[in-house]
Amino acid sequence: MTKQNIDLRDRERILAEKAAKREVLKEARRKERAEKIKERTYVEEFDRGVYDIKNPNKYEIMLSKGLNEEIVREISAIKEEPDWMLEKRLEALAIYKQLEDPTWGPDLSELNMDEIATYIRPKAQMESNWQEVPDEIRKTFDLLGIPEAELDYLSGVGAQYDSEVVYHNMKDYLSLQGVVYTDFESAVEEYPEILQEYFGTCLKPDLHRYSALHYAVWSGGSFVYVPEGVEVDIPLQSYFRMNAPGAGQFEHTLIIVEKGASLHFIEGCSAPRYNTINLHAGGVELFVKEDAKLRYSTIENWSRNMYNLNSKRAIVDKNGVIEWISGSFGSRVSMLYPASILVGEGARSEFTGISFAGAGQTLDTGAQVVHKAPNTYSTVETKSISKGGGQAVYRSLVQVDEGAYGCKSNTDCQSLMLDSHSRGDTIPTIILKNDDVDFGHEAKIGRIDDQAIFYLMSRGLSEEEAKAMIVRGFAEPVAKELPLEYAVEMNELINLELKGAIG
Amino acid sequence: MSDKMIRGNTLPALTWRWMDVNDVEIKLKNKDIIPYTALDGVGKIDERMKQVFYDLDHGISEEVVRMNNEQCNLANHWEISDNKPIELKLPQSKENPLLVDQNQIVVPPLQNGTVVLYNFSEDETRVERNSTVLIDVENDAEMTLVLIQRLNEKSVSNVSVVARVGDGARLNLATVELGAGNTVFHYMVDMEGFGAESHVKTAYLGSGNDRLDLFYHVRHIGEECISDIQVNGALMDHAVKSFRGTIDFVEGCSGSDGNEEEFAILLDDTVRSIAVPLLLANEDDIVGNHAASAGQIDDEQLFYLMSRGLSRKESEGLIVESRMTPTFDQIPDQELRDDLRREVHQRILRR
Repeated sequence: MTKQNIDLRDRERILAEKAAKREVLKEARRKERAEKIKERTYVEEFDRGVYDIKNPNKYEIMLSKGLNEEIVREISAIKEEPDWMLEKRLEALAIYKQLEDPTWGPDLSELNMDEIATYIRPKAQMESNWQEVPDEIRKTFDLLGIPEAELDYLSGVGAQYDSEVVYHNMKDYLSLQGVVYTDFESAVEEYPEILQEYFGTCLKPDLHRYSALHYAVWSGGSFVYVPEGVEVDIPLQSYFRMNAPGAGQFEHTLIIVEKGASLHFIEGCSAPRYNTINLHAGGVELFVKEDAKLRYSTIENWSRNMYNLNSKRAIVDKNGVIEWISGSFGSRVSMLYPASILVGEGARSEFTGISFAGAGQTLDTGAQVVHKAPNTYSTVETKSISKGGGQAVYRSLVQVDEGAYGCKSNTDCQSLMLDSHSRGDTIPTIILKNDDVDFGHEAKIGRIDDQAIFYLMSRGLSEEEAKAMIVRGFAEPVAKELPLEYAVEMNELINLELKGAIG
Repeated sequence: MSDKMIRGNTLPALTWRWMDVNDVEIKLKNKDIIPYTALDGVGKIDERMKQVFYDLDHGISEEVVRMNNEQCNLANHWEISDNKPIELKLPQSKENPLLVDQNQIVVPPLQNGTVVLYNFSEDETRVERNSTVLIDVENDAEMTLVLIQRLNEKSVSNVSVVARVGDGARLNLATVELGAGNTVFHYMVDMEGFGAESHVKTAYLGSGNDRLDLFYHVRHIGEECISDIQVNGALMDHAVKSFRGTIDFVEGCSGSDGNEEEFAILLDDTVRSIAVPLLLANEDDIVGNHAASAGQIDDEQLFYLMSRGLSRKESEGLIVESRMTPTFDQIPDQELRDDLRREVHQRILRR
């Protein structure tokens, strides 16, 4: 026998031994891992409580479904708008027709504009007294806790029901200081100069297809103007409720915070569940002037038949600060990436976001920051949780332009997956166009740490409690940025979402 | 000859179109079939292997691979049978303006192979390279592939590496990108086996008007796979680098661990650095991390070295070089290693 043959035989023997050992190891490791991840049961559908209460679909005007020039003209006529606004709408419609759906991100093929009514006027006038709001609509907002919140901790409230604002009110002392908080239609009428100067300049209709759509059929929304040096100490809130099935909501929010002023604005959204597809394509334009500060918080809890294709953008001047707090829980598909354009030296942007994707949901969310001026700072902190086959995608852009020296940017995104059918993706893009930047990006993905669960259980908690506590802890950085009442609401939402996922 | 634009290195998950990071333009112009005279191929190309691998992934793009098949002028097929490193020098010059090489590496069970492919310019002629490397690392084998590229700044380098890693096997990839005005690199690995590993270390230096596109796609398929991607480099002048790395956790890859890290040193105001580090997870029992950072050289490090009597540029050179050391250490040939170090140093000094 030659030496080579012996070698060959040896090799075969070693290989066979290795393979056998590996099989044993594989089995053992599988068992180990399986023990770590105990069987979990899922409840696909659960009662979302007050969010799911439907009202009979009563309306004064509902335009026919679909989108064409006639419909756009009709919306404008109903609102008795000035010509410049109609022109803007028609321009946007033309852009909409040219643009295509995105080639990236979630599938939007189910969304058919021919099946969506773009304008529905509820049977209600705009009121500044809750008692005047029609019973049914008021009841909905009562259940959502809006009037109560207004009394307790808000300085102003706007409530939109389908396409129109039904309630708007602000504390007197603020209007005395010159703060304006009104529904958008009234703003078009009362402040045409300001609107012509700002409307559509931050968030442009040609940004993407759904921003064009938004400008063509926008209705409702809020306008806020905070004059120089005024600090609005208590938050303002707009609440958007969609009741009608197969409809779209396209509210426009425009906020101007003048030099040295500050504001906290809260946006809440919800809708009951239907089997038809609803669309929300709102537009938010924020102007933060020199030394001003704006905090924009959103708790979004759309129902699972909603396509939430919202666009938000802020332009921040010298030493201004924009703070985004964003919680995405509902909707079937969300594509939401609030953008901060830092145009003044020393401007700052902070983004804190959480998204929770359950069965059948694709939440494609994130943030965009463009550093256009020197010494600007940005931080992005996001958490996403996916379970039951849900998809949570974190998508972001950080761009530092030529000449924007001394910029600092830090991103931290974490994804938590509660089972193996779900998806948790992170898709960040970083574009640096000069060398004087201090940039860091970190992302983590994975499941709940077993040791943490074990630790909590050894302290007397049940496994379910331990897991829920860890998830709440995971969400804590976002929760702590919210006013207490909203943090409680968010925790309740998390508990609601976790029901079934854990334990 | 049509001048239709070819694009390649498409991200496995697309993002905003306007940022132009979803794919990259391929600059291969030479459509002729011309021989490569510097050396002869080894072994016979296995057509079946080609098919199997291109079914997994089509390299930079189908078009680039088609051109590679049509214009191929150097073919190598290695079946590693002893543990001696294979070193291939691939010079390009006026005589050899086009290198279209196909390389197949099969590492049978328990074998340990090292292959070094060293591609460089001998003169100032604009040359093109379109290369494919297919690697099959069978159970319990280990493979180290070192790719070094030092073409001149007028040249174009396109390299696609597609690999498969079996049970308990390990693939180490070290790439050094020091040249070519237009570099497109593609790495995709399927870690199919239980406990398979893929370790990538890249070092690059971009200067002049260099465009570098470094694309990595690591797929965790088997259970308990381990992967890491470490990309380190420096940019100066008007160089543009885009790092696009994806760690993809396929459902069923439980117990896997994947890491990617990118660190870019920016030496000039005019450079551009793009990073798209993706993590795609379809499995919860995994750990995925990515970290990217970029910026100027740390002042404290610089201060320390300069306080020891080194000039600013020399200190910069030293720091950049040190970031590349983990990659250089994978090169078996000491002389080549020193040579590369010297070049990095020189180019930073000359700046």
